[in-house]
Amino acid sequence: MKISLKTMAAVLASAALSTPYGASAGAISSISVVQFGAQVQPVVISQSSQVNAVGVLQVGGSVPSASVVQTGQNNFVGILQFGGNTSANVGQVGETNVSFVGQSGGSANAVLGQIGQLNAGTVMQFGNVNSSTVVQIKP
Amino acid sequence: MKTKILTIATMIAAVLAASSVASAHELTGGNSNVSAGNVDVAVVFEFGSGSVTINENGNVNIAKVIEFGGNVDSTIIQTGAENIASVFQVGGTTNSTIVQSGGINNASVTQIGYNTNSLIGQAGVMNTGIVQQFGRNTWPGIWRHDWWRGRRW
Repeated sequence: MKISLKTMAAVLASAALSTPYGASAGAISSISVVQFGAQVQPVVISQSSQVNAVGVLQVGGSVPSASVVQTGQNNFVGILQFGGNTSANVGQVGETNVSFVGQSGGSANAVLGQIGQLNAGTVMQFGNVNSSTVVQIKP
Repeated sequence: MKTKILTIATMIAAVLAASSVASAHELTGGNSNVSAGNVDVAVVFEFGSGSVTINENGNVNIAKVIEFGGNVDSTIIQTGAENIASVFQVGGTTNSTIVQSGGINNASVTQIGYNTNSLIGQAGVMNTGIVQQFGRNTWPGIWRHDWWRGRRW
């Protein structure tokens, strides 16, 4: 009987400690893409970890293009593009969504879609023809 | 007898520790949920002709648009408890449309150009709006519906 009580106490203590450690130990995904040159290739990134972070830098080329889709608890995106016709598409679904897009070129197109509790999006465009769409939705 | 007392004391201590850790964890989660709840922030800066479209439906919505160019166009739609929109445009033809629906709505539009057109529609308990236009042809329009008093003007 004494042994079972001690065992119960140990199990309770371990259960109490295991909960916060399990919550804090989430998966983290981070991706950085840097492209320079006339033949800049389109960038397509999809992340579904608990914390997702993406950084994209594209310099040159006629059509720098980046598409990022993130589904996680915390999602972060930063995109910088310099070229002829710049295009950026970002889709984020999570509790916290933060994205930044900076574009410079003949034409600049940006689409941000965010679904979450805390959505923050910033778009800076320096082009002859600019187009930006930001949609933020509370689930 | 001593061993029995020690065992009981150990069990009580473990249960108390478990409950305190669990309570602290729950409180932390509750606070973080409250502080990070339903906020949408959108900032758009454009240098050159272009169009901006922002659609937000959080509890608190904040949108800020700054445009410099030939012909610039901005559309903001906000539905939430508190909506704040700010537009600053400089160009030949500047167009701004803001639609807000919620408890507290605040809109601010400043336009500098040859043709300046602004339309603000607000439906809520407390609606405030400012339109400043500096142009040869200016057209401001404000439509408001006060839910509290049940009238519009």
